[in-house]
Amino acid sequence: MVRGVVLVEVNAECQCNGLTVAPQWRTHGRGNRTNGGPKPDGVLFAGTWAPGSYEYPFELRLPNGPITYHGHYLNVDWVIHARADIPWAIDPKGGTEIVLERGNYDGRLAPGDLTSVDSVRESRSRSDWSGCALLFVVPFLLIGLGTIWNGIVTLINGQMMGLALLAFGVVFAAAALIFASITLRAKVAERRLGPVEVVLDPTLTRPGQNVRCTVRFTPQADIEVAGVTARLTGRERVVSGSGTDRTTYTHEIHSATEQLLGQDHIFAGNAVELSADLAIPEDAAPTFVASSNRLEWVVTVHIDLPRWLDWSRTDKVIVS
Amino acid sequence: MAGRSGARQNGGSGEAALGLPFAHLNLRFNPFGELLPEERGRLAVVDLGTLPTELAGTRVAVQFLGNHGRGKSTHLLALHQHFPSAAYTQLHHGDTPDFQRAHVQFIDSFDQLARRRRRAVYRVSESIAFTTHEDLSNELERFGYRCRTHVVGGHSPMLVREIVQRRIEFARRDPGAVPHVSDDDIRVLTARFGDDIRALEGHLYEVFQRLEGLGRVEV
Repeated sequence: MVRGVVLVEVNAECQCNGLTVAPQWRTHGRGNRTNGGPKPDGVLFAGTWAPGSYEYPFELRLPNGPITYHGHYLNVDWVIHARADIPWAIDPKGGTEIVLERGNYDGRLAPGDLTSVDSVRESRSRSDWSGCALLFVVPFLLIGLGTIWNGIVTLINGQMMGLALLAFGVVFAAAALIFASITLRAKVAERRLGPVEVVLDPTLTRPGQNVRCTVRFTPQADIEVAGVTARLTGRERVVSGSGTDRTTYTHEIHSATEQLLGQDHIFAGNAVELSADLAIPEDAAPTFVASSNRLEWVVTVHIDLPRWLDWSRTDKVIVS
Repeated sequence: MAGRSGARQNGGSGEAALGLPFAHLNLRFNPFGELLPEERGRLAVVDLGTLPTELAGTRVAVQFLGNHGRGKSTHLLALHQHFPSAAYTQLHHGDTPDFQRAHVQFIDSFDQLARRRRRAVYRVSESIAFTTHEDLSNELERFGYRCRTHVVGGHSPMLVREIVQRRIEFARRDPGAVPHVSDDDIRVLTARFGDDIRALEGHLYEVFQRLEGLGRVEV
């Protein structure tokens, strides 16, 4: 709850269609600015103002988030915003900053733009993209290899144009292979590991609580594992600019790694279940999601396979 | 993570109560962070010359041409301040918005549109102002526009000083001292970043994040 007074100085008689006051959160920092908050609940005054000074007390119930946050690339601050709707004129407005803290509130904190909460809950492993990735990789690889072949044939025939074809083909094929190694890595690793299941419990958590990370897999063949780790990361991700001038900035605010398994040999068919508790810091900033600005907590499970592509997957948890 | 005195950071490690942001610097926010588009237009340090008058005429096209970070969008926003009721469209890659008939049209990143779609814009726009990386003057002349090309870049130390001071003043919280960037430091910044204002602002953003108190800013 916040109480205050809106002070209005009127120079000349005017009509006011509504004097409203409402809390508003705003982001500032390296990312594009955005804001949000509840709409004004009723008007403090409507009618004709004669010249003079007026005071309008108000009392507002503040939403349960997002709370004030001051980070490196991302800041979230609150302003109590007053606005007078004056017909046929630029609406006079004013505001004052406040700090919204968690205090003794032990319920869920709203993570900013509520419409985006569902997208926070989504967690997608890279292997989920494998179908889409193949649609890109196969044609690019075929075009690349075909162009390289044409380039070689053209060079053999003594035409320097072959060099350009060769370069073009190498770029296409390299792009396909790089994309494949990024997106199909998990699928390739699962040829040895079998399907890997990662369970985070709970996915909606609070500062000071633990998130239990459980990893299960059953290798298809005897395998060597160099190590299995789970890393909890808190990070700010903001976007500055747009179009071709768009830049994403990331700043890590917390990182802690737990080893689930050291170097080991696992026999084919042996079901493996590993788990560890990841501690959300007592002072962890809550998850925040808004256009171009987010603070997110993620858990990355990494399985290091010697002489083979490693398996890795990142899932989000909501800190409330 | 490194803490600031006065306005403290929270995050993942050890913080108590928060204050108002950047109060220790007598500022409301980091002056070199992102601004709202209308704020950027208001704070722009640009010489538009006769462009506002010319653009009010018929069949005039103004293109702001230059590399990334040189201030094309800032010029366009400053020009838009002279036509506040005119439509302003920020194009992103792949966007295909419908443009309504207008006397003056403002479009950021106009070269993101395919040529066919640009032709549709010419048909509904009496005059047009835009930013682009590609010189579109031939195309504009074919569509009957008198084209004015403004190449953005080559900023002097004096202009850079003005940009820096305006940004700091805009972020001011209360009367009194605020951090100060000296002329010598402006020359150092200009020598280091040339006319890439965005890179310069990015550097000063990091510098101001680390500032612990008032006085001369070490760049």
